[in-house]
Amino acid sequence: MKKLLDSYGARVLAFILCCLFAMTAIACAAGFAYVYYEPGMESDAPRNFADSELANSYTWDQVWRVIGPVVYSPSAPDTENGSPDRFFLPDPESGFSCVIRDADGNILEDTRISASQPAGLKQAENYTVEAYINLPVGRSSELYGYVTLYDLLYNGRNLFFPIGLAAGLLTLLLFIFLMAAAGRTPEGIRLGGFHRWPLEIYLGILILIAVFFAYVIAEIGYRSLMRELLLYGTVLAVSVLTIGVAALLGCMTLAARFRAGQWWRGTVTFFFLTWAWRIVKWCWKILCRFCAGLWRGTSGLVRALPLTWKAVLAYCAFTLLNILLSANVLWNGAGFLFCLFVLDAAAGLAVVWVTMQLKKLQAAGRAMAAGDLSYTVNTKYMLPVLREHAENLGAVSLGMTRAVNERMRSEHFKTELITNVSHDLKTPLTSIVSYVDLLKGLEIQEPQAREYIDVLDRQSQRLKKLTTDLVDASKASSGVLNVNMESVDLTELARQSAGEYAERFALAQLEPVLNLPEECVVRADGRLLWRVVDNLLTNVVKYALPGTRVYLDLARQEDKTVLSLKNISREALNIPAEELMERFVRGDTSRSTEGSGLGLSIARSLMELMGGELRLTLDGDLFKAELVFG
Amino acid sequence: MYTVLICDDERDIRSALRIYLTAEGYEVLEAENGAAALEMLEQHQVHLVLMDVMMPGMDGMTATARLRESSNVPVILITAKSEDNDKILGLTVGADDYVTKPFNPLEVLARVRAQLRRYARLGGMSVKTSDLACGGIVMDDDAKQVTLNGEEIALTPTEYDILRLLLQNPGKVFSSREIYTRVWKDDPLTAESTVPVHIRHLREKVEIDPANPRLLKVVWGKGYKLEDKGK
Repeated sequence: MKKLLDSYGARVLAFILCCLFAMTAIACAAGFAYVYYEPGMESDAPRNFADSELANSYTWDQVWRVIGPVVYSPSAPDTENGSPDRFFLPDPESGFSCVIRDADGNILEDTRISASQPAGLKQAENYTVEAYINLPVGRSSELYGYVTLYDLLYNGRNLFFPIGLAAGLLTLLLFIFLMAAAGRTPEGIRLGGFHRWPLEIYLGILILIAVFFAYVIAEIGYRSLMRELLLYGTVLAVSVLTIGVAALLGCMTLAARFRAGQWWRGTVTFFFLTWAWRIVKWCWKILCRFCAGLWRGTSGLVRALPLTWKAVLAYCAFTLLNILLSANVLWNGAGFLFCLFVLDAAAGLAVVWVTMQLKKLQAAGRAMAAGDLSYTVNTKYMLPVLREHAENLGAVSLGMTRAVNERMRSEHFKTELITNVSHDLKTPLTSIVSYVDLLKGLEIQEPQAREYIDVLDRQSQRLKKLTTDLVDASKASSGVLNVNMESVDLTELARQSAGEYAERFALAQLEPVLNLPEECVVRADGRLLWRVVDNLLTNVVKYALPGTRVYLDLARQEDKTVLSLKNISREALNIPAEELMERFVRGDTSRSTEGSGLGLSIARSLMELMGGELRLTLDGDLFKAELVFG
Repeated sequence: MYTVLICDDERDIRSALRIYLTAEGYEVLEAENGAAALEMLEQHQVHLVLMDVMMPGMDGMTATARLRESSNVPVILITAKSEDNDKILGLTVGADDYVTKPFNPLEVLARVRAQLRRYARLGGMSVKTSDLACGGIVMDDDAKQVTLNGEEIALTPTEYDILRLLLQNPGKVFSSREIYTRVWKDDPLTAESTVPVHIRHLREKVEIDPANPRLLKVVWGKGYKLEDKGK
């Protein structure tokens, strides 16, 4: 079947057959229609031509021809004179003869011959005409075509329907086949030949042909057809065939083009539309480029102007408009007053808008100054000038964030390094401490050796303290430490601390004096706070002048709570207070006494971790440390 | 005669500890990592283990956890890290006590002694129902006698009263004022640092290292409490 569909020969054959079958079907349909409309035709009884519808039609024709001169000539003589010449009487040789009567029944003419067969009465105008057909009809007679046709119709009266039906069905089948085959080739669907012609032109030619032949058919006319049945019949058949062929070709090309897809590509309209679209697009592009250039030029010019000039220009434009409108109000009446109002309102709105943006920028600057580096400004609806400013602010904060992060990372790294190093130091230190202790237990005679062992002991203890303090200091300063904030009673803490140090104060000949309220609760981490107080009191015990008092005062100052610790230094302190809190800085520059020099530094870092502050004041020999809680 | 197993990767530290422990009359075994220690424990009768935390091969935490699967021998961890997390992890895993490097040899000896006493004696000792006990401290209120790991300790009457208050409420935090009111039965107007001083004395008698108490703890800025162990 596929092969058949693809075959070109099959298609040509099918095309020819389809046309022929169609012709047959049309002819049969015409014949069937005649048989259907002529009464008595379907019976087998022998019928005379004279009784037929064809004969009736012919005789009517002839009757009009005969009486035509009388009816249609206004100059015709009066009927009462009864000149027989007035009628155009038929040739006795022809197949028609008649008897003409006037309205009163008087016979005016009679051309009958012996072989005349009556063919009905015709009433025309004021005459009654008895029509007769002279049988048999000779070959030369104009009636010959009618008779032949009638014989044909009569003889084939039972065949029209079945043959027509069969031919119609076959035509339909072949039509379907042709539609299915259109456009196919053994290599797939290809459009070739006429199918490549522009659709409109092709269809237009086909339609022109069809219309021409339809005109031809219309021109032939019934009478001439009957007179020259063979000639005009052939012309008719050829015309119908041509129209059919044209229709079929049109259908086929449509089918082929639909099958190939994108049928519209083969049309002239499409071709022109494509071109038109291209031209429109090209024009649009040029227009866009022009507009963009214009905009860029203008905006570039505006942007290049200094900010001050821009503001001045804007103000000048506003003022000029204002003056113009005011002048118009004066001369042309109140209509322009409305415009003036609108202009002023718009200017007011613009000022508010700019102010709001400035306020945003101000808020951003303030947040950044306060240390909030994650603050961002929404620059979506900002003036370009202000947006630039906002973006600069963002860049500053970004750079600072980056620097802070970098700093944090390096601090963490440092802490980790210090922690690891001091862990590694602890193991050998343990050995040193243990073996020094063992040495101390031995009986050593040399007094110098014992002195050396004492030095070893003291220094190894210092080293021990130093390693621990070092870890604490780096942790506290980098904020790696866990801070567990809770409610802490400073009174209780001060009492506890004083209790812890009671013996050591006594040993250093110091008298603690506590000035504490009943209760004073702040938020802090108790353990860390104890480390702070511990470090401070260690210093007091170490550096305070024996025989003096140590004051521990707790008081609320304004909105802050301050725990202060005062003592008299044993030696003159020759360095600023701030510097005392730096790492490894100690009041005694000789560094002979024990201590790592980290105590105050740790204390300060811990206070900061808890959100507090450590203040040191040196007033002569008075050393004052204050723990300030927000 | 008790046998102590020392597990540390540092030979010098093992030797030093061996000298101290032998001088105290203990039998000493040595292992250089956790795996060796576990092996040693299977072969010998060991009464106490001193376990270093950071060792090549099997570390001290893992070894402690392993040996706890089959034995309840006391374990003292020796750790170089002073972070709380490490101490907590060690105690959770099954250690009985810990010392931090660089340690004081005498402190180690004291802890060894305390653990051995508890391990050996407490099991067989009868504790009267009327007795107050917590973490090795036993108070016989009838005889007004206090023992720590089986050894009697001498307390002043004030210290005794404070300890009794704390023993009666293990884990509860008492502020200095509260303790003063309950013990002195007086208004704490001039209490100042009386209670803290007494507590400190008490701590010196009860704790091995009073600066790092394990039982009688200071809750800074709140008060004092007795660590509620063994519950």
